[in-house]
Amino acid sequence: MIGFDLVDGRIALAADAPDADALVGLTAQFAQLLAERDDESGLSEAAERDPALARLFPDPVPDDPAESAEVRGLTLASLVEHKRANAELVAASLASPGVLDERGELAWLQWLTDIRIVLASRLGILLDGDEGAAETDAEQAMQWTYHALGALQSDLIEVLDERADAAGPS
Amino acid sequence: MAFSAPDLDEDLLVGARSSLDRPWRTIVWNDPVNLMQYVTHVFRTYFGYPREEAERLMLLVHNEGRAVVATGPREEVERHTEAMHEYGLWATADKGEA
Repeated sequence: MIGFDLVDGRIALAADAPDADALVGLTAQFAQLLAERDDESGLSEAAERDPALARLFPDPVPDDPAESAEVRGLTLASLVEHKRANAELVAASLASPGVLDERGELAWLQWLTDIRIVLASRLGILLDGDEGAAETDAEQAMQWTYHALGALQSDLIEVLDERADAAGPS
Repeated sequence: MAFSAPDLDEDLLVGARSSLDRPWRTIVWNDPVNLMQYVTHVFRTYFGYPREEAERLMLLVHNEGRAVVATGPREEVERHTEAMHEYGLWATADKGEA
C-alpha cells in the first residue's frame, strides 16, 4: 500500500515494502528507457523506434522543423535530466518514506504521469476510452499498474489541492 | 506642388509591425493518459490560473482536442511549452493565426 497524507501543511508519503520495491523497480526501468535515447543515434531515431519516447519528448514546434531542432538542441538535455531526477527522487523517497519536500512533491506528481505515459504506450492506449490490449498475464499486470498509479496520482492531487484551497481561494 | 510624404507609410509600418509581433502560443493537446484532475491542477499551479479558468481550459482540451494556454513572445512561449513537457502534457508552440 502506498499513499499520501496532508500533515501540518506538508505531504507525507506512506509505503509498505512490497509496493515500494515494485515502484523502485519501475523507476529503474524508466531511467533505463531515458538512457536509451542517449545512445549515438540521438532522440529522433530513438523516438522513431519507441513511441513512448516520442510522447515523453514531443516535437516542440511542429510547424517549423528548423525552429524545433534549435529549441530541442537548447532544452532536451535539461528535460531528460529533469525526468531522470524525478525518477531518482521518487526512488529515494520510497527508500525512506515520510514528509516530502517541495521538489519531492513535484517529482512524484510528474513521474507518475511519465510512467503512466510509458505504460499506456506499451498497452496501446492511444485514444480516450482505450483500455489497451491486456491478453497475457504480464499485460494484465501492466494494465493493473497503469490504473493503480492513476489512482495514486489522483490521491496526491487531492491532498495538494486541499492544501492549496486551505491557503486561500484561487 | 510640393511633395509630401504620405501618411499611408505609417499605416503600412503599423501593419508590418503587428504582423511581426503576432504572439506565439502554447497549445496543449488532448491525450488519453492524463487525468482531467491532473490537467486542471497543472494549469492552476504552473500558470496560476484561478480554478474556474483552469477547468475551462482543461475542458477545452478534453472536448475540443486542444486549448491555447499561453500567448506571448517566442522565448516565453517556448519556456512554457518545455514546462508542460516536464509535466508530461503534450504541448506545442506555434505562431498564432493572423
